[in-house]
Order: sequence, then structure tokens, then C-alpha cells
Amino acid sequence: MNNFALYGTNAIIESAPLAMIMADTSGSMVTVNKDAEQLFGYQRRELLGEPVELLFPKRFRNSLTIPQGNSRDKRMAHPAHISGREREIFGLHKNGKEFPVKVGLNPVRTHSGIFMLAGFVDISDRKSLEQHLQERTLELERQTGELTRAYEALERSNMELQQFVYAASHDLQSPLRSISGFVQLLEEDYATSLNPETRECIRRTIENVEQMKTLIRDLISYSQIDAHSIPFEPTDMNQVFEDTTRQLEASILETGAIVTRDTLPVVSGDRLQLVQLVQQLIGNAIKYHSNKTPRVHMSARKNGTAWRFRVSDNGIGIAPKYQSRIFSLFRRLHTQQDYPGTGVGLPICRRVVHRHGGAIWVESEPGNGSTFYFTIPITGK
Amino acid sequence: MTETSALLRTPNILLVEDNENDVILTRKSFQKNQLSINLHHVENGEKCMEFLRKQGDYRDAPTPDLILLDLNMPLMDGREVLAELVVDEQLSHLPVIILTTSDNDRDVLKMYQLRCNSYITKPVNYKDFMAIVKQIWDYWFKTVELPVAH
Repeated sequence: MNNFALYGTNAIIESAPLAMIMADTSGSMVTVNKDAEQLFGYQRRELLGEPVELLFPKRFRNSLTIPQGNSRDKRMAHPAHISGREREIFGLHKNGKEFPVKVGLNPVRTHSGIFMLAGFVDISDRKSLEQHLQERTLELERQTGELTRAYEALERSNMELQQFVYAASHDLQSPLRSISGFVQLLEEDYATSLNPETRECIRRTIENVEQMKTLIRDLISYSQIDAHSIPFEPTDMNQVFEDTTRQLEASILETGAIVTRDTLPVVSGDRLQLVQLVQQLIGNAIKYHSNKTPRVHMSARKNGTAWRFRVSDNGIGIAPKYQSRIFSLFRRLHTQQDYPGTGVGLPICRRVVHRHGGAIWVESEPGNGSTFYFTIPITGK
Repeated sequence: MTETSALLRTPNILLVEDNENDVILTRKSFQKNQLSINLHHVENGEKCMEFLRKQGDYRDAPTPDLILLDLNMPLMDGREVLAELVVDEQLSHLPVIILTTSDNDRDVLKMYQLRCNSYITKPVNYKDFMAIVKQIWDYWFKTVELPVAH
């Protein structure tokens, strides 16, 4: 060993801010810096002249020495197969504990010959972080899997429920048709011979059948909102409004309602369902009118990433404490005598709006009319 | 006063319907409309085919002038009946009206593809149904020529 020749190299190694060890071609350590002492827990003098294998667990030792060329003399000790590249292996501390370490190997040519210079970085922290990260990833994957399964189960039960409602509604129509038919036959055949009280019973029976028919029809359309959906297409809301007012012509004429609109935007949606939505909202605005001439106005305004539509009326209004329940199925605020209805209309609206990725709500004060808002996201293009 | 058909005889209508109430109500609506017909009734598709082929209990059955066919029935449903009728040379000329509760788009399309003569969804209201029965009569027994099999 020519210490003089190595002097410059040693100075560099000693001052380097990471653990460095240099070994000769036989694998004996010739230089160990302070950081290396700390990393492996040895005094320098305990290592100098010792084989570099000392610093690695047994399982790595076979791969530590690999032949350089054919000569056994030129065997060079290093803890990885390829020099000049970084490797992640385990180091062995003097106390017997292993720790993950990153090793960089480089041959160094000096006047005294070729040495192998190894730099070590303790990567315990990074490894434990990585392990933690991996565990978290696995946990997340597991949770995602669970969520996906739960979502699929929910979707399945939702579909089943829709099919159930649809099938049940259809099956309910059949006996209802018979009841209605037979009662009407009774009424026709015995109209003159029945006393007023019996005729009133028949009239009420027919009336109830009619109401149930409406209910079933509404339930069917409620159950179909998600089931029979068609792809969204650009839909002109002005056209939707016009279609709606045409369909509501009878009640508009009957009440003398004034139904107006601003210029409305084109949205991406299911046209028939949007007509259903607007028809319900305007229909309600007319239906729940006060003693004033019903005035209904529809407008829209861009609100961030969505269109916010507004249907306002001058009707009877809704007390704040009831405003949240009106969107729930079968929740009504009035008797059949005051305002006939099925309690399915606004739930249909809510479902249509949700299917379009928007929200629906109402602002109202009793006696001061109601304003229904709904949003529809603005899609790209 | 009872109306007579252009056939100069009482038309035979075969009602293929599993719901007894509907059978009574249909029969009643012909009566109420004062339309004179022979309404024959079978309760499923299998019996319908036997009736048309004059097999089993139906050896003496007449060939109907018009078939009113329900879709949803036990054993053999109306879809199967129509599919079998249209490929049977002896029976393919018979006019078939689908009379059902189903307003399913796919059913409607499928039945017309099988060349049904019309598809009617039974209205829930009986008065509407009575009106439809009258229209069936006016169209099939006063307006159109019916085929005569040789």
C-alpha cells in the first residue's frame, strides 16, 4: 500500500458528506471515513485490512466478490455485480442489525493500482416511508375494491327496485282497469234505478280509481328515469319551454296564467326528461296559484360551471319548514280536495336534475310565491 | 238496434286472453255497443293454436274473421302465437290485432315486424275501451275487405 499515493484520495474521502469505504482488489478495506464508521458502528481501526464482506449480511456475501477478468488475484470485493451503478442492498451494523442501504461503486485508478470506492447512503427512512406508502396503497386498493363492490351491489338493488316498481305498477293497472270497468258498467246499467247515495258511492269509487291511475302512471315514469335513459344531446331549453307550455295549454287557458321566459341556453341533456322537469315545475307554479292571476317566469344564468335555471311564480308559496320535504316521494302539503296530486312530481324533478348532474331547490315564503332553482352543468364544447 | 256487419253474417272473433275480467268486459263492450258478434274465447296461446287448427276440443270451431290477441299469457304467449301464425300457410291470412296492457316499445316494434294488423294498448278507462271496440268494429267489419280462404 502506497499511502503517499493515496493521500489525495483519502482526503477527499474523509471530507465527503457520506459514508465511503475504499477496498483493494483483494477486497480488504483500505480507507474508511467518519460517516462510514458511524453508519456501520465500527471504529476505523477495526475495519482497515478487514474484508469488506464484514459489513454485509451473509446472504449477500457470495455475490460480493466477483472475478475481474480471469485472474483470481484481481478479484475485487464489492457488494454488487456491476460497478458504476447504484444498488440497494442491506448493510450489517456492528450490533448485528441489518439496515437498507444504497451503494454506489466506482473503480479508482491510482499509482498504486486499482481500488474500488464505495459510497453508502442509509435509506432506512426512505424504505420505511416506501413500506408505509405501499401499505397505504394496498389499504386504499382494498377500500376501493370494497367501495366498488358496495357500489355495484347498490346499483344492482337500485335496478331491481326500479324493475320492481315498473312491474308492480303495470300489474296494478290490470285489476284497476277491471274495477273501473265493472263500476262504470254498474253506473250505466243502473243509473236510473240507483238512489243518490249509491250513485255517490259509485262516483267516489270511479274518482278513486282515476286517482290511482294517475299515481301508477307517475310511479312508472318515476321508476323509468334512470332505467330507460338515452344518451345526452344538445337540448335547446327554449324549445323545451315551448313544448311544455303547449302541453300545459289547457291549464294555462283555464287559469288565465301568464307564462313567460327569458332567452334560455342550450344544455346537454335528455330532452324528454327535461320537458318532464320543466312541465312539472311550471305546472306546479300554475296549479298552486293564489287568488291573483298566475304569473310564471323562467330564466337562466351562467353560474360558474353550471347553468342555473329559475322558475318563479306568484302563487301560494311554501313555508320554510316544509321546503325540504317537498322533494321526497309521496310527501304532500295539501289534501286531495284542496290540490289533487300524487306526491311524485317533484321527486321526478329531483331525479331528472340529479341524473343531469345538477341540484334543485326552492326559495319561498307563504303568500309571496315560490322560486324553484335547478342547475345543469355546462359540459365541454 | 243491433248493427250488422258488411259480412252479411255474424262475425266470428277469437279473443285470446288469460284475464277473465277482461274477457267479460270485452264481451260487455260489444254488447253495450250493440254489435252482434260471436265472441270465442281461449285463455292461452296453445289453446289458440288448437282452436285455429280445429284440433282437440275445437274440432267444430269456426275460422275466426279476426283475432284479438293478448301478449302476456301463461304457457304460450301472444308473441309466440303470432310468430307461429305468420309462417303457417293455412293461418297467415288471418287478421290479428294485438290487444294488451304492454306499451313497451320493443313489443310494439316486434309485433309489427311480425306483421300484426294493429297494436292496441288497453286503456285504463272503460269508456275509452268501449270506444275502441266500436272502432275495431267499424274498421274491420264495415270498412275493409276481409280475406276468404279457399
